[in-house]
Amino acid sequence: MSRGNLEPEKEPVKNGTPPKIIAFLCNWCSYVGADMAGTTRLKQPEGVEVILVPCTGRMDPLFPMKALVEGAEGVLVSGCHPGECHHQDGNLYARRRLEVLKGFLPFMGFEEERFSYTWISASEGKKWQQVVTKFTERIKSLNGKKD
Amino acid sequence: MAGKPIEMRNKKTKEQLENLKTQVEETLSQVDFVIGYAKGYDVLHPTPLFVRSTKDAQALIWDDFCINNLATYLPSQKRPGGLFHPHEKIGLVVKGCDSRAVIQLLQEGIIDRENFKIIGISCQGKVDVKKLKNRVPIERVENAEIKEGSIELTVDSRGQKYPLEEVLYSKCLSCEYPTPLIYDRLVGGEGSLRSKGPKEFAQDPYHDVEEFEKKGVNERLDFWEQEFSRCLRCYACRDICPFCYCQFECIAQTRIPHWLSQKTASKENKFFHMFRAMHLAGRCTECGECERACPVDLPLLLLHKKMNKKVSELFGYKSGINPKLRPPLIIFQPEEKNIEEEKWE
Amino acid sequence: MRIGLFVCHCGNNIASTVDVKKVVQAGLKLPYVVFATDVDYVCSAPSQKNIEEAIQEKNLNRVVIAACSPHVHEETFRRVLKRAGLNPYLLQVANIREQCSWIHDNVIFATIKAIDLVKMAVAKVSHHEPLVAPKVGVEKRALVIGGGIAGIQAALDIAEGNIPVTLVEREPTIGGAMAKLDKAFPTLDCAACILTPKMAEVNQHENIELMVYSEIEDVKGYVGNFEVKIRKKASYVDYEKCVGCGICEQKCPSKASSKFNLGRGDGKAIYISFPQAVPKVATISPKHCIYFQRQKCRVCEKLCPADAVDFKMQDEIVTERFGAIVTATGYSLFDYSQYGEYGGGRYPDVMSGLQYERFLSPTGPSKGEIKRPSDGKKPETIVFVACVGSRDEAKGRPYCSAVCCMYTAKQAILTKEHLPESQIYVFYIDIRATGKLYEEFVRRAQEEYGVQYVRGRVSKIYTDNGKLKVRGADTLLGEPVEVDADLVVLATGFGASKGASTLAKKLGISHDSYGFFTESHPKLKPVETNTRGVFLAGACQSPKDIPATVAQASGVASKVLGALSKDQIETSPLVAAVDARRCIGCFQCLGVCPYKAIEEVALNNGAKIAEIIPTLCQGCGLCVATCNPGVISLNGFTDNQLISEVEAIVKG
Repeated sequence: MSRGNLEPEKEPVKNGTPPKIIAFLCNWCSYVGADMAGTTRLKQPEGVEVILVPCTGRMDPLFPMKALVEGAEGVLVSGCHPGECHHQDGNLYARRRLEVLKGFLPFMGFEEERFSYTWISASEGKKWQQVVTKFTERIKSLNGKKD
Repeated sequence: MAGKPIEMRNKKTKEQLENLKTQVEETLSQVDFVIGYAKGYDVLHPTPLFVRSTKDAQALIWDDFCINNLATYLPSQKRPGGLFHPHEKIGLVVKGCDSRAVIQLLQEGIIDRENFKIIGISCQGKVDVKKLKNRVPIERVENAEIKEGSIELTVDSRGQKYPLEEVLYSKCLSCEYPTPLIYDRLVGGEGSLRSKGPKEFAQDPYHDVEEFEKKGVNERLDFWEQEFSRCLRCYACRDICPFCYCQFECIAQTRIPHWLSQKTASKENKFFHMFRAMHLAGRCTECGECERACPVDLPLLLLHKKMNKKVSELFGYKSGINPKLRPPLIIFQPEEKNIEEEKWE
Repeated sequence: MRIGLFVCHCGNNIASTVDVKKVVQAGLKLPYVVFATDVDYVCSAPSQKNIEEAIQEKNLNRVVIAACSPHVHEETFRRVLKRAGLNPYLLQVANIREQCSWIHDNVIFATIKAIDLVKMAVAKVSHHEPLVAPKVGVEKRALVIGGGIAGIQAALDIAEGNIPVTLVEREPTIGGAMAKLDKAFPTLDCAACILTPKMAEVNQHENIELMVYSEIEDVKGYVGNFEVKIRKKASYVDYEKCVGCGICEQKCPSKASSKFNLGRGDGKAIYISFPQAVPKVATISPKHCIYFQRQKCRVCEKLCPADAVDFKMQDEIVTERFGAIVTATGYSLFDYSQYGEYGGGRYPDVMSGLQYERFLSPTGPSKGEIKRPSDGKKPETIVFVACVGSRDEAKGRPYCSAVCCMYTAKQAILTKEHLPESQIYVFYIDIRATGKLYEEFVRRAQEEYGVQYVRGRVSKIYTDNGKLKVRGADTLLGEPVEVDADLVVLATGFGASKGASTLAKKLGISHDSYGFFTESHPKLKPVETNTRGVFLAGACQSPKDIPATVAQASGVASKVLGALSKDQIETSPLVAAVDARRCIGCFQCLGVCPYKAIEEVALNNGAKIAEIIPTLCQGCGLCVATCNPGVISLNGFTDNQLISEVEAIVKG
């Protein structure tokens, strides 16, 4: 069985270097909430880098999948609370699609802690701080175990 | 692969064949052509047959190797000659598992019920040629007879006998729908398994998924890395699937959008199969044709069954059963009973 | 591909945590970046000019600005590109302030992250194509939903700007909650006296079409081109014929409780809401009507001198087009029966502020005489309880309702005027008297009228031997307090109007968890919503008093007149489009689009494919994510653009 096509082993994470975490935030609620966390100077661990999407309805489950397959250490998705989507229903479709993805990723060898999705409104800067802090901790402890 | 033609002697399928020919001939008056099975390059590999006349119909066969899911021809994009022929009417021979694909395609609105006629045929299970290949040199099989729970082969003038549960397709061993769920005409009455398969399969169609889930996450990662390193990206799995009717526009091969490179690295191959599984979530009817078509024996059905299991757990939905339902990922509920919001305390 | 990178210091806001010079250096190493520099304040006028010059001198065809959140200045920077002769959509903003420098402390890691964010922006912008904003015509008509003081003021101001206005009100009369008031604080003007001239003006204004007893059925379209279906409910009285004489109401044998008096007072099945109703017409409530319930009576029909009663009337749906919509749907009051500790609605002598207001009003159930509902006697001790259903986390209403301190003081003063010998107590937590002459008004209640203000919450209201007892605390004295009351008035708080969330869905606007409609920006855009063309005025946005409501209504009118002043407006080009060559005609996109912006189009050979109507599309991207062959792309957020951002992070 040829292993020539396999990717080389990833270097073990250097102590303290923030993990690479990608967060997809919806433009109307979560991105504004994350901005609000910034305006109120709520400190967060480094590592999360935000990609803006117009709505969680835009979240093709392929994006978190691609990110993880390409080596992202964690992926977060956040949108308006169900029932309050700026675009009526976008997040209600997203909820189904992302929950299915969440159940599928561990089957393919990705630890279930590496993908999460949540709902953060424009005024929930504090919740964003909480999510980022908790999620980054989870990823760091996963990487710690991986030696 | 010539050799001596192997006669399949099975009384029940022989009777069904005569009835089938009659039904096909009668259907011809209502459609432009009927798709059934004919002998392929050897007796173990039937091929689809396009019947346009009574004369054509004489070439029809029906035996224990007629595995092909002919429902894959229904979405007009997948027919030879290609796209958008809404005015032709088709007839189709379908088994129980195939009929689920027909129903699922109806659910998705991709076919109109008035444009096709179904000749359902009840089935007792089909023999997996790959499982025979593991046991005997196929090209030297002179005779094959199915008798009371086993298949008796004559290879190099010597008899070899195997219990049917060893050579039938795994999906047949846990078959829940031996009689088609949709048809205009039905051949053969109630189907029944000619043997009860291994206990764990007969009771739980997702047994293999559950076994796999007992492995640790790193073991699973290594397993898929190994498996997908064999993938050639031939796309046979996609091309044979009834639901990959975007096959000519598949995002595996586009630049806009550009999701995949054409590199056959295990990682890229894995991503292809993962997104195909995602696109088929709640739609795949587990016919297993993808696994059969794969030239390097990838365990694809395992992937799609896991996806279906998850969809079933979350939404109580099973594909290909009720044409009035809608595929679960293009609808939503304002409250989802089985989805709990993650807590972040 | 020539990308220019501008990294902002924002004074110290970014530069104190992110090494801006390092970001510039890293930026210069990225593919296609031909120019990179750091800038003190990118948004300042001189810096904007410098960017314009750099674009022209260096022949840049894409721009990345690493600075504050795009929500703050993306529009500003787009204008910079436009002035420099570059398509304004060839821009990408990297948020290195709110989502980087302001939330991290470690300079090394914050700088690495800022560099990553710049990499993402450079990768994304390299996939941007020039976009042109489509222009659409504008229907110069406005719709105002809600005929309370907010809707009335907005309608009058818009009408004065020579724009025809349709005012839709779901009750049979306009006037809203203000019409139920006896007097208004702090002037103690007779509320009806200041309101009714405005109501009359609305009815007579040549530019205002009044549709009462009507509701919004459905809204389609987009700014400048809304198509609205309005349901004119069957009132069973022809409003054109009715002269408002009131004989029907007098002679009607049915019994009902008066809706206008909030359930405190008798009414009839056929009613004129109140004496100054506009229009002054009768309406039949089928629930209470003897004819509708038991097929008997029809007295009103027999007696009506104008022959206006029509039991066969049906709802009628009319479709109208508007360029702008104003929601002025007001509020509802907190249901005080949720306070079991205050009697849970069981005690007739415990009532809400607005119910008490009806007792004070000369058009109310007791003609302005203050009487106890239980036995009709004059009350001697009256207790007012503030913050009922406001500032209360336990009841799910943590916010302040803005007006209750004032209306409580007002009602206390009015009570003293009616009953000078009465003892009045007000249990309060704080006094919110922020408006002009408000603080002085509350002091008057205490000093001039002798109303006793007790700082403390009321823990329980109960009866003992037929006497109402109010138990609370006086936190300034540090003692528990119990008062024997004859009448208790609960200052109930504001909530969203009934049906607010259904209307919000129809209009495509958002609301918060309490049902109040969400403004575009609380400070800078308080009368607009995020849905272009839909505006807000009054309590439907948040609790407020009459002066603030009227001011906001006039503000909304100016926005509407502005929006409708042009003959053509630009809509956003950040919309989705189907690649017609690749569409396989499965139409899953059509099924999910929340704006019904996708339609089936037939090709010459009879095959059908999907097409998106750009003016209806709001750019949510749900169709893009639903399309399996990836045939739909969303301008500004294409798959390749987002994939390039992902790859910039993981592949470095």
